[in-house]
Amino acid sequence: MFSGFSEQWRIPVPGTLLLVVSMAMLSDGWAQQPGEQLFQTTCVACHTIGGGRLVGPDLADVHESRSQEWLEQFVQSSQTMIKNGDSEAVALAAEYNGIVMPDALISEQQIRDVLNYIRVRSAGLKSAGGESATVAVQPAPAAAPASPEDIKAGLAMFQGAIRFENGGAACNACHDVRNDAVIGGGILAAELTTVFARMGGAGVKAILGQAPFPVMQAAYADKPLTDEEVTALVAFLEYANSEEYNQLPRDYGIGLFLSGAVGAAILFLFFGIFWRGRKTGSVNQEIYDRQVTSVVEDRV
Amino acid sequence: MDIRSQISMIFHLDKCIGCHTCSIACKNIWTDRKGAEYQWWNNVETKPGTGYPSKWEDQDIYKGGWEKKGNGSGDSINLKGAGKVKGFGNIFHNPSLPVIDDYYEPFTYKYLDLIEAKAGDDQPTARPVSLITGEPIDIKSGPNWDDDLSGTPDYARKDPNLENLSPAEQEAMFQLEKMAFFYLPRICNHCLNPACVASCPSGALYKRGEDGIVLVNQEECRGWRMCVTACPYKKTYYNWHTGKSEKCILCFPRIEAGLAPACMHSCVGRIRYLGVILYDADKIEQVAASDEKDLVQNHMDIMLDPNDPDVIEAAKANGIADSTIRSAQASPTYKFVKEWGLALPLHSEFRTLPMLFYVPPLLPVMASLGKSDPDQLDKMGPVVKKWNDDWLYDTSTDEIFGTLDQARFPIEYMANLFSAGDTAMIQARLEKLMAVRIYRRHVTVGDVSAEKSNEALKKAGLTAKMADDIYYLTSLAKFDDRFVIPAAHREQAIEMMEFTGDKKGSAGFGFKEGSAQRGL
Repeated sequence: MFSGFSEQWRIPVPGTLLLVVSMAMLSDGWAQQPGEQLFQTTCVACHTIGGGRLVGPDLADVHESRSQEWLEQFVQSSQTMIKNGDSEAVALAAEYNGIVMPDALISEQQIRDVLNYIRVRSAGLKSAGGESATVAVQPAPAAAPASPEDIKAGLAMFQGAIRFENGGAACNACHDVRNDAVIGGGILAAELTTVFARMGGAGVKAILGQAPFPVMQAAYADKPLTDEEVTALVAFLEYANSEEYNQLPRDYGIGLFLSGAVGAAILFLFFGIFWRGRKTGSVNQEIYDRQVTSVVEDRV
Repeated sequence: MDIRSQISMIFHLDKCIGCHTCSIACKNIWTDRKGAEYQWWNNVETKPGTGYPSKWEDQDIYKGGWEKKGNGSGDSINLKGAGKVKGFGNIFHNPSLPVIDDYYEPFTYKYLDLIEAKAGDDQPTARPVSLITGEPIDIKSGPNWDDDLSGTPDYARKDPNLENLSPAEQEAMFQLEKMAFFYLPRICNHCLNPACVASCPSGALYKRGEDGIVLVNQEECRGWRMCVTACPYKKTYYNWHTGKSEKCILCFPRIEAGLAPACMHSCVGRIRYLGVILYDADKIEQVAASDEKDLVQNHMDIMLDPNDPDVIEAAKANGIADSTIRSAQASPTYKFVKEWGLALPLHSEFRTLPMLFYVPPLLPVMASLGKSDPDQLDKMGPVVKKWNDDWLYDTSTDEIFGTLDQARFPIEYMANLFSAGDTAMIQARLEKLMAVRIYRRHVTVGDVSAEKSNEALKKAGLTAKMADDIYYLTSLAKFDDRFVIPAAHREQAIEMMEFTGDKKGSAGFGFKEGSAQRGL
C-alpha cells in the first residue's frame, strides 16, 4: 500500500513544489514593482513615461520638476488642488484645455508605489539613453481617414443600436453628443461632442481602451471594448467633432426666453383680434355688480 | 316626396298659469343629479322678460341658429356661430358660449344647520351653498329670477323682442306693466332643421327617424359644446360633471310606452298637446332658406294633410306604420296648427323649423287707461273708477271683449315672438281666439246676439262646428284627446339598427352599462 502511495505521488510532489515556487517568484516580482500594474491599468490611458504627450503630460522625469509631496497630493485629488488655487495645478489644467485629471481611488501607499514606478522607469529610460526613449514612443500610426462604415458603426454603438461584443453599456446611457444623428444622450457624464479635439485621437482611443474614470472603469471592468469597437467609436467621435459647427447650440441664453415672450405676445394679439367679438362675462353682470353681497367671514 | 313623421307639440299660452309644475316634473325625472342642477330642460318664462338663460333670444350675443346671407330665394343658410369652418376655428375656444352666470349658479341650503347647530345667541340659519363648489355663496340669480317681473328695468325692459318696437309702443306697454304679462313655457323644439345636430363636430346629436326626437348620444359626445352655441333656444346644456352635453329627450321612454312626457302629463292648466305630424323632408332645406316673410307660411306648408290619400300612400311607401298615420289623423297638433290655424312656431327667424307651436295669448282688454275728458265722463257707468283728475281706469268698452287694437300687448311684440315680425298672422290667430270666445258667450250665456257671434266667426274664417271643436279641445279635452301618442314600434326601429337574432335564446336583459362619467 505504502509503496503504491509513493508511486502515485512521485511526480505530483515536485510539480506542486515547482508551481508554488514559481508563484512565489511571480508575486515576488510584482512586489518589487507594485506600481507598474497600477500604472498600466489606471494612468496609461492619458499618460506615458517617455512616450510623449497623450491626453495628459509625459510623466518621464516628473520628479525633477515637482516635489514628491506635491505629486502625491495631485494624484490624490488634483481637482481639490485646483479648487484651492494651487498655481501650478491651475496652470496645468489650463495648459491641457481644462481637462482635469480624475481623482484616484487608490490608497496613499498605492500612489507612492505608482510614483515610485514612474521614478524607476524614468531612470531606466535615462540609462538606456535617448534611443530607447524614441523606441518607447510609439508614434500613432498615421490615422487612416475614418471610413463612413466606421462612423456609422460607431454611431450605432454609441446609441446602443449595436451591442458591444462584451456586453458593455451603450455610451449614450451616460454621455451625449450634439449631432443630428443622435437622439438624446445621457447627462450623467461628460458631453462628448468636441472630445476628439480636446483629447486627440490617441487620447480618446486610450481612454476607451482603459478608462481612467472611476465610474467608467467600474462599468467596463469586465466588459472591455474590442479594438474594432474602439476604432469605430473614435471614428464617430471624430466625425461628431468635425460636424460640431453645424449643430445648433444647446444653450440659448436669454434669447430663447425673449423670443418666447415676444411670440406669446404676438399670439395673444392675434387671438385677441381673431376673437375680438367673443362673449365676455355674463349678460347679467351689470345686475350682479349692483347686488349687495354678504360678508363671508369664515368659509365653513 | 320623402314623408316622415314628427312628434309635435302645442302649448296653449292663454291657459298657462305659470305654476312651473312642468319644470318640476321634468327636473325630478331627468335633471336632479350632479352637473345637471342648472339644466332646466323645461322652463317657464315671464314675457316680457329676458328668459333663461338671460337674453337667449339675442343671437348677436349667443350666435345661435341659422343665418341667411343674401336675400335671394336661392341663397343657402349657414350656422351663425358654429358649423364646419367656424366650428373648426373655434373648436378649442368657443367664443359665444353662455357662462354659468348667464344661467345661475345652482345652490342648496344647509338645512342640517337648522337642527344640528350648537346652542348660541343667534337663531341658526340655513346658509346657501353652491352645488358646484360646495362653498357658501350669495345667491345672485335663479332659474325664474324674473318670474312675474313684467315691468322691471332689469328684465322686462331688456327683452330682446322689444327691439323693433317704437319707444312710444314700449311705453304704452309698460304703462300697464303691472297687469300685462304672460308665461312662455319652453322645452326643446325638436326642430326639423336642428342647428344643434348640424353643429356637432362629433356627430353625437341625431334626430330619430321614427318620431323626430332630437337626442344627444352620450357615448359619442365629446363635450365640444358647439350645440350649446348653435341651439338658438339654448336648450342644450353642458353637464360639467360628466363633460357631455344634454338636452330634453321629450321623455322618449315614456312616449315609447304610450305615456305623455312628464311636463305634459303634469300640466295643471292642461295647456299642452302632443301629436304626430307628417311632413315632407325633401323640402326642409328649401323651407329653412326661404325669405323671412315667407318663412312661417312655408313652415306651415311643409306639414301635410294626413287624410290626403296621396300623402298616406307616400307615407306607407316610406315605411311609416299605419298606426302612426292613424295617430297623425287624430293629432291635436295638426288641428291647432293646420286645420284651425291657431298656433305658431316660436322665433321661426332662427330657421330651425321648430316643431313646438304656441297658441298666442289673447290677453283681452277688460279696461283701459285714458285721459279723462268731460265728454267721456258722461258715458261713465257705475263701475268706472276715477283715479284722479287726469287719469281714469275705464272699463266701459262697448264690447264684453275689447277689440284687438286695444289689446294689452302690442301685436308687434307677439309678432316678434311667434311670426318673424308678421303682425297679420298674429292678428288672424287672435281674431279666431276672440271669435270662439264670442261664439261661446253667445251659446252659454246668451247676452251676445247670434248676429254678432256669427259675424265674428265669419270674420275669423271659422264655422260654428270648428268653434265647437276648438272649444272642446281647449276646455274639455281628456287625456287621450290631448295626447295622441303613436305606437312606438321599437321592435322595428331596433331591427333596423341591429340583428336581434343574436339575443334569441339568451336570458335576461344584458348587462348594466356604467354610469356617465367624465372622460372619453
